[in-house]
Amino acid sequence: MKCLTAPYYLTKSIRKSAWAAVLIVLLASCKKNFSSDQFEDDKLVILAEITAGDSVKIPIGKTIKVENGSLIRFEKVNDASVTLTEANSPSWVLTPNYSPQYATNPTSVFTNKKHFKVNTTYKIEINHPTLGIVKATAVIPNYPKLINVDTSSAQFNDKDVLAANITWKDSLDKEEFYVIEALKEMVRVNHFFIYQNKRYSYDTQQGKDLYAQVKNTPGIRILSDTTGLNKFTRLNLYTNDNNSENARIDKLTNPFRRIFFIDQSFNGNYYTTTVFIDKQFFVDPTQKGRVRLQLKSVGRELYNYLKLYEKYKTDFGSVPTNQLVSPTGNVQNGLGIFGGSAKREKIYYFDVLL
Amino acid sequence: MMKYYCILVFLLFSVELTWAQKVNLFSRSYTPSFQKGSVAAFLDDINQRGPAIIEYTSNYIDTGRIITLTGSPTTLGTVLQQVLQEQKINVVEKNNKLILTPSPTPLPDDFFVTSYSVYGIIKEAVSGEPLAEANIFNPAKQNGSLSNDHGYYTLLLPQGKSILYISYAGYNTQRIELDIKGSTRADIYLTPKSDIEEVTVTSSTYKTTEKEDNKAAKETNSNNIVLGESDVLRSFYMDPGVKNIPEITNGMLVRGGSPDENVFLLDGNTIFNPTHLLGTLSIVNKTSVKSTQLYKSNFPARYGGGLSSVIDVMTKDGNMQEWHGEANAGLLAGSFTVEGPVKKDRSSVMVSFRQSWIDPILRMLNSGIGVNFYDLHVKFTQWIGKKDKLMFNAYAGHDKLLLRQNYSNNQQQWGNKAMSLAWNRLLGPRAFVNTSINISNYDNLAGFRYNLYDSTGHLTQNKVYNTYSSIRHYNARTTLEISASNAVKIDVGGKASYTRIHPFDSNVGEDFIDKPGDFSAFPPLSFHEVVLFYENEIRPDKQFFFRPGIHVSHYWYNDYQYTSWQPRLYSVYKIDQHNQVDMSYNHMTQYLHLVTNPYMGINSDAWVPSTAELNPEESDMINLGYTYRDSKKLLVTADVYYKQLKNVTNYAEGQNLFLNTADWGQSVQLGKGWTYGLETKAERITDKWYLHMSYTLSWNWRKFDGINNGAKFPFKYDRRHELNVAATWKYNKHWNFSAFWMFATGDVYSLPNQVYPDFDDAQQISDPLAPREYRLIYHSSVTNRYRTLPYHRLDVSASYNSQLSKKINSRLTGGVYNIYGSPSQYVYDLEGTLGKRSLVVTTKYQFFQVTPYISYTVTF
Repeated sequence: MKCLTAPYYLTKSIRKSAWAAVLIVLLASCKKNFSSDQFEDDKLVILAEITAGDSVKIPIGKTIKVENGSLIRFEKVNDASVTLTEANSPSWVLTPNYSPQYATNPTSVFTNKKHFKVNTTYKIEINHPTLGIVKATAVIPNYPKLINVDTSSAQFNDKDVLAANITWKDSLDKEEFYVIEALKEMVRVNHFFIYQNKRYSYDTQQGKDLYAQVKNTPGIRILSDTTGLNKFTRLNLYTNDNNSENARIDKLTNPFRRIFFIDQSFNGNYYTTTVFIDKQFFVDPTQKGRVRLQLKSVGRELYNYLKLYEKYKTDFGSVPTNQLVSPTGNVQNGLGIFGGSAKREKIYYFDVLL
Repeated sequence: MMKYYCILVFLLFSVELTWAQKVNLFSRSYTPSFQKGSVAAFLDDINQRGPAIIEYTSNYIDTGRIITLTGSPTTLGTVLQQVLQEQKINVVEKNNKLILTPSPTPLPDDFFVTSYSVYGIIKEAVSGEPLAEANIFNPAKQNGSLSNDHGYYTLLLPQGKSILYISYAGYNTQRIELDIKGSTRADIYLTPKSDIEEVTVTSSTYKTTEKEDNKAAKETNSNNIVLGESDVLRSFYMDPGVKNIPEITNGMLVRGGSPDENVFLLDGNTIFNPTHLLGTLSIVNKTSVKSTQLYKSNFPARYGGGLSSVIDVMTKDGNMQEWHGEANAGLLAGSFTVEGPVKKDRSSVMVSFRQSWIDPILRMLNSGIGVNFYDLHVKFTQWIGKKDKLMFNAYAGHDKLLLRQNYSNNQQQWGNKAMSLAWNRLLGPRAFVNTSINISNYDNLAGFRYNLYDSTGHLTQNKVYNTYSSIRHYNARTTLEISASNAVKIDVGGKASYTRIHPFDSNVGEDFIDKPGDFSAFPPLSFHEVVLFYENEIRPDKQFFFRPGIHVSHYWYNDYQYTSWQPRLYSVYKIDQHNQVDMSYNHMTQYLHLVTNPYMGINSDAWVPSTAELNPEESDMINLGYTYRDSKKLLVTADVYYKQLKNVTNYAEGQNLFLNTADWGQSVQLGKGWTYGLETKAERITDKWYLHMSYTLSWNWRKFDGINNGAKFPFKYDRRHELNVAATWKYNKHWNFSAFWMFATGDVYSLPNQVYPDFDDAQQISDPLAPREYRLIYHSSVTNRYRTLPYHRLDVSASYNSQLSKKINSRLTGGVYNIYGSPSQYVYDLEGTLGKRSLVVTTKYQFFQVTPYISYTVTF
């Protein structure tokens, strides 16, 4: 039976080693990997959809730390230096736009008179004295080949909607990402008359006085046109198209901000889908506008961001904040998105512009 | 590598069978024609008249030695034992020949002794209930055996007289004398001790080297009573490495795995959600249970399908002698178990039923909680002849739970239904087979309401997410146990299964949905699995034990097929009487993925099968253990382990709801995980005291490409420290007092730490339907960066046992659950609107706060 008993020193040595190992592990466990008071800097945020044909407008903001007692109020970052570079062209320096139309914007909008072009790569670099340097790159794709849009009034889930059958042709050789959205652009209605080949505004007192004097002159009458105010109202969309990626975001009976398609199932072919635009805000006598139905071809990064943004907005209010999935973009050392798009649109007027 | 391991295991199998045949050759009948003669003369006689040919050369055998036979040997073995005594030879058997080859040492004394099997069923004398893991010990040879789950045992004994001791905790040790002339069936009946608390450890017990720390405690202490309901599985929560997470489905987490990685078997049949009250109480009614085992570090090859643990619950056959029962009335529920013979010694029936009745009290207290559950278990056992036994099992259970509290407004219903028919057969002295066919069904319906208010407190949104899923599993399995010798046991078997998942659906509306029929049906997801397993238990001497095994499974779902080779190894080295070390390695594969909507406080589980994109989950684990036992009944264990997980699931980013069955695979993403830790336990059981302390130190990591920028992050239940302390004091034969206290580090969670302007707002797009104050985007820069407050709870209880009459005993138990009202779950949320200050809101979930209870149990 001697083989049953291990030498005493062996047993003792095993015990000693075991306790030493336990001690080491316990000490190692005391290291804190995570804590709730971990320090993190605020970050610059770019929220830009750069669209072919539009003038340069880049909304740039900053994050706010949220914790117990933090005030949620967004601050502008007008002290940032913003440089935009178009591929094979010199860089442009953008300046903050202090126009009243951006006064309520939660970001600083940096503008320039240049216009974005299709099929072009743009790089942005922002240098901020305290928030550091952030960079991002975006490609504006080619215009989508919009073939046709047919509209008719309809009902969708007991709502009055404008049904729009949209047909476009996909490119065979490119992976394309499509977004459909509808906005009502706020407009100012300008009233004017032409007198002696010169345009006079009827919206000013001086113009009204002149009109009173010359109104009996043959050929003189009050005309009107509109000017976009660069302010928009979101119009909810519905779809029953299972090919849309919205089918994986929420029930198709629910409203969406944007409708998403990838060209996997119709690569190189014509594709027709129907979107239903909620008519609730088509007509507003207090703030007149025009409805813009847009088919956009967007870059991959913008597409992914917008899709996650859609999911975020759908979930917001339906799930606790700790379960919300924040959209992630392409901004190095910052947050948000710098993405390109090219759009074709149809404009409809429902307000009486008198 | 795994295939080579399998080849090695099968080689072992071949060697064992050869060895087993040798024994048969020696037992053949042969009587020499003379009693005295030379070695050569005896060998020649065997060659001419005997049952085998012996080949040898006289170079290394003293053939001239004169042998006089003693006794009257009648087999080849007993003759050769005397003829070849002290000869330095080895014996090789080939084609019915015995070849004698030279050897530096003589043959062992008992080399040619013929051994026969003694086998049978060990049962309780009073009820005829088979006893699992009863101990059979042969002191003369210092060897022994244990009965299996069905009471079957077998032990090889030398021809002639032998004495055996048969013991079982709580029963009188029985001594039997046998005169072995051939394989003998001996069914053994043990009688319970008059005072079952007395545990006598004598030298007449066969001391196994395997760990015994994975059995559920049979005693009722405060740690395994929930509001007056005894729950045998709760004693597992005392074990290090096993975490109890109440208020989630199947709230058991083992060694860093998620709840779906535990396989729960009720009489061999899979139960998908074995809990009531969202994990607070198991579905197993204590009075119907015969044995319960939890495997978390060394998995026998017969088990598979779960990465983290296997809980194997065997229920009683039912009393074959007379009718008995037990009734229990507690705060939470009432239950009874009745068992008795349909035909004495031939067939029995056991019925166990439990129904909750706390709901009216909760309503009266305006608690906002509604609880309603039941479980029913019926078992019928029939012996057919002396060798065959049939067992029919049926189980049904259902839960309905309502939560209407501050921040939660949930409704949940789930239930299991299971049925099985098992057949046991004693194939002979050394083989036992258990075959069963099983059906198991699980349904889960859950609804979750989340309201959104604007800054004036006006309700702006009311959404109820309703989900429904169900799963049905059919399988047929068989296990053959063969005892090649006292030192070698073989388990071999297979299983074929078919699983059909009725997929998830979700319905978003304004109210809860009660009926499964109101959900849209989607095409079912079905898969098949075929399993073969083989395992050895080898005890080469009294110090070593090792158990190599292999579990091979083949899976197919539509066109996707996968074969998994899962080696298992468990080995123990006994250093001395007090100290032993062990090592195990396990590879496990799991084909079912459980995906859970990441909403708090809701049991919204959905199962999905493995596919070409969603590969099976796999784990590799290595465990090193140390055990110390002393003569003062102190047990100390320590284990270190490292476990790697592959293809664990999480919802893909931005895909936290299943809405489209065709694309469900895209909603789930695969990642990897790893967990490691130290688990220690100290336990002392005396006549007066039961003392227990366990401590776990563990780390638990996950890594998914699409989460946390691909960086590792701690798993939700990454609890660094966990401590359980329990004590029971037996004051006298009537009174005992228990206390249980647990402490655990808090869980990790994510919360937004930054907020930035809304994208549409930045584009000058306003949404008249969305409140302006919520136009912001929350951002969480690191996953699971925060940790909740620690959890701790104290329960106390006292029991009074009395004998009401000769056959009726009673137990009155009173106690307080969660004596200082500690929460069992913390949920953190962030409230914030534009222009106001953000606020972190902490919700403390607790089904039962400070809850006194009383229960009364009568056994008859």
